[in-house]
Amino acid sequence: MLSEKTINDIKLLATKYPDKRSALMPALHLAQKEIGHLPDAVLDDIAEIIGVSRTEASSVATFYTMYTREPRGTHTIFFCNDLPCALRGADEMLEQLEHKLGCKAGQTTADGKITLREAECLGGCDHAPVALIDGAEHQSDLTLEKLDALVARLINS
Amino acid sequence: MEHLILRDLDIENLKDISVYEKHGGYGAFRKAVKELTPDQVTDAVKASGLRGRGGAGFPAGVKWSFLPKGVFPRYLVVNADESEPGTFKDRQIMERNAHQVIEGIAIASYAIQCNHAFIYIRGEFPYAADCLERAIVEAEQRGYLGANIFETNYQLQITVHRGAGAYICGEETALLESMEGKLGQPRVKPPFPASVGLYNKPTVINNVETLANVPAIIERGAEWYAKIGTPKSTGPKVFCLSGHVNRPGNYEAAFGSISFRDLIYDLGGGIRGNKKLKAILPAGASGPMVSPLVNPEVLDVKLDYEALAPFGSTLGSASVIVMDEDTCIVWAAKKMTHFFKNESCGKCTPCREGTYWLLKMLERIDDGVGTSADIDLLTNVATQIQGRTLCPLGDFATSPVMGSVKLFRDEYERHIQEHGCWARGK
Repeated sequence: MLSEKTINDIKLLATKYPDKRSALMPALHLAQKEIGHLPDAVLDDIAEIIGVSRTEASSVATFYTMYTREPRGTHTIFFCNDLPCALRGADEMLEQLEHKLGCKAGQTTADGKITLREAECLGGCDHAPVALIDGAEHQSDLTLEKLDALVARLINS
Repeated sequence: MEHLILRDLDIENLKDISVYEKHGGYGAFRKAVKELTPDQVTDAVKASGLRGRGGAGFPAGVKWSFLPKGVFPRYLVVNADESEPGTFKDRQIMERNAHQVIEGIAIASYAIQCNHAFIYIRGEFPYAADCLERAIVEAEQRGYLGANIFETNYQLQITVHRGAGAYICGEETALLESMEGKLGQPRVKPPFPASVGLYNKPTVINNVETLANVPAIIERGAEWYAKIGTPKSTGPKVFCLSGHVNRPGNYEAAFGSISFRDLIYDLGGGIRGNKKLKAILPAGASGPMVSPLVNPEVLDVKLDYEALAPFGSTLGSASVIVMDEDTCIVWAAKKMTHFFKNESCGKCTPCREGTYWLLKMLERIDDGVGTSADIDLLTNVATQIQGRTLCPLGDFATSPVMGSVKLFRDEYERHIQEHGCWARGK
């Protein structure tokens, strides 16, 4: 399932650590970037290169919240509603966002475009409320207007 | 005041290596490698009094000197897993002053004679990780990293390693497990990482902000540094201010030089909407709250590592979350407990099960179906977690409950009597 390039990148990663098992998490990141999630077949490929069992690879892939074994939407919004964000309106904003997307946190929109997830503190409390988009882009000082624009952008991209 | 850590506020484009060099960058590392022995560097950091900025406040130089003699390789692992609710200082330092972090890592690595250092950064900080990687490439191009640094035999490489979402990896042994490609769960101590750490080798683990202090200590001397702050808490500290304030943000001040009043009302511009201050979390979710309504004098204590002990709290990593008079304390405790319940790694039963039940009870009280027995049951369960887990997360997880019941028991009782929260509607 993984492309030859990703497999080669993972093999290269495995040489960069004193113990190649350390390459497991970076490898899972690379694979998820390519496939979107981490199905059994992908874990088997990675486990073989790294030298661990699929069970070990799977336990790591399910322990950490940024990995997903199941397919997600085209985009994922990790929305923080821990205390510092909640003190600045995150709870109400999350409710509005759920209403707008027509799905609850933890679910994906009917058209498969956006998965909404609650995030633990994203380290942006000075610009709360914050969200992390596709694990790559921080959105801060969120307002309802900003969220509307964000959702429109994600749906159209 | 001149910033020593948040120098990006004084110097434009400090993250560019040429700007960093123009302002003395990598001069301290050069001095360490060319003029000092590794032990002299460690001794200078010891003499400076620098204490770990990750929350525990352990003296950094002492930590470095714990490594067993003659055992190689040895590793430096930088804890950049900044995940405590209300903490965002390391992120700013890495994004805007990455070279100072790299230089601090380089000096610390030289001091402990490590040739491969790792930065474990949380996966949710992709931009900060990119900034560090860029800084490392630039430093390699200039010859500050790699082989034969400053024409000596010393060599060093630095690898940025990205986590994938787990608060527990901020605990140093869970971090090491995660670095090794395993579940982020704490190890039994002893043995301590100083003797059996990453890949079972001697390892030092330091926080980002701690290491960002090191170049100035080497450049200007331990004696100069030790004069900043208080005798027991030396140097500058970055305070993270968030919650109901007008100007949330990172503020750098010497230990013992500012109080909560200075931080919240002067630097932070006061409480939003001119409301009254109700409670302060000095150490994010992990330390018990303090309240000027109960202890008015807490506002004027000059802050250092020991200052909050008389109030039953701790400064931790100085993640100051401010709550105004309209905040429901039961709701706040529930929010924080929800965080700990989600982030408990599941290894120790008291933490895994205890946080689950604490949350259940808080939800019950907040939903208006709690009974008067629930308050004592809450503190009873919390007490049974305390001291019974491998890592401090278990103790941390009891702080929201223990701190809030101690200061605001009447609010819990009112939730029970009135079947819900009067402030937020029932």
